[in-house]
Amino acid sequence: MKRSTTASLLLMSVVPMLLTACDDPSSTAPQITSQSYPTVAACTTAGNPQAECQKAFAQAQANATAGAPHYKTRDDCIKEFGPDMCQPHSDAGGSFFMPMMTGFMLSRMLDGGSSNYSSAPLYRQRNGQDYGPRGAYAGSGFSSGSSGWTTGHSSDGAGSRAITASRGGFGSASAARGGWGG
Amino acid sequence: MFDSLFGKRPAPPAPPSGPALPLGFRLGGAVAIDDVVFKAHPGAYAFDPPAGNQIIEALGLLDLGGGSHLFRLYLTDDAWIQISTTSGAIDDLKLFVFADTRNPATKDDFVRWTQTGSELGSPQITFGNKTYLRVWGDPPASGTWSPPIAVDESVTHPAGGEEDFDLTHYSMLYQREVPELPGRMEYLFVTAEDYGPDHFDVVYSLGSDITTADLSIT
Repeated sequence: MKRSTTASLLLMSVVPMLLTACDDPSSTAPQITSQSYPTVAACTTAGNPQAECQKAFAQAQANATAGAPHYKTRDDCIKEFGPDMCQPHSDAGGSFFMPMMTGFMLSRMLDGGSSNYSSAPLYRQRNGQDYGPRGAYAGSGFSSGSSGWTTGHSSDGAGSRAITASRGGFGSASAARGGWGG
Repeated sequence: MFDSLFGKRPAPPAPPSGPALPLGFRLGGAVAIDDVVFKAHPGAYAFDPPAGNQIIEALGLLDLGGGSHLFRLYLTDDAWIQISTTSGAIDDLKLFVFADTRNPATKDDFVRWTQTGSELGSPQITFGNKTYLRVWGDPPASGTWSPPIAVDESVTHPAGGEEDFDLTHYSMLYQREVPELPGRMEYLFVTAEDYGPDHFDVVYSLGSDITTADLSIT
């Protein structure tokens, strides 16, 4: 851990994105397009199927508490998100303040002939940028046409780390047990 | 943890529920490191220890399995003390000073740091005109690349301080014998730090063995 490293807010600049789900450009990797919408209506106006927009909104709303940044004080929250945007909340971990969800991100993965969607809640900051969660709540996925939600599907497949390879390919941490040279 | 960035984390920092910090160290406390060996042999080591009282500003905990843990005490002046323990007993004590940081431009560049042929994992590394030999993996004489070891670290700060966080290390340890001080080693610890899909770096630290007698803990 570099001492000067701080856990900065994981800000996601919300602009239309075209991402590839795989690093290898030569592969036939599925492509992901992501776009943010303030409302279901805006989502459908943009040409997305109404059912997908509604599902995306509902899923984002379901993750709104878990995906929001949590602050100890209202002032800390207001500093980032402005007055009238911060509300008290409590869960098993205690009480905190969090911003209200102001929109949602709809990601669509084109994989061959089928489309898969995922969504995430968004929170508009004072500076006009949208805050979006990374990691566990960054993309709760669902399949177009499926009757039920499928959860745990990350929109970019990257999880919360840059390296997603199996640990089996690396040296075991046991090497560092008493193996500190000399 | 009220000030956590998110309400739920995949791997919440372990302290204070983790193993107890040994030697009377405490987060937010102070420690001074005796620099007499460094002053008596100027230039013998490729780094200088931090001077004066250092505040323990953050605490890292790594679980190596088998009851073994590493505690990393991050100090005021870009240095850290590492305590290796097994079942609470201290195996090893080291001082490291941050020497260099590389910032890969892309995720692909970062991933390559951990793959075959990278400097990280090579049999030896020349750093600051000094050559350090690999400690972990195959013997350096094999000439082959060894994969870095992967291990998670949870970093905590004093209450009300910076946000706690966790990261994954891909690390390799190197060493050289200090010619001016036969039998004493200087270490080069190279680690690729993975904080997230677009947050990573590679850090080089130089270090030496220390003993409890070298430390004044307050």
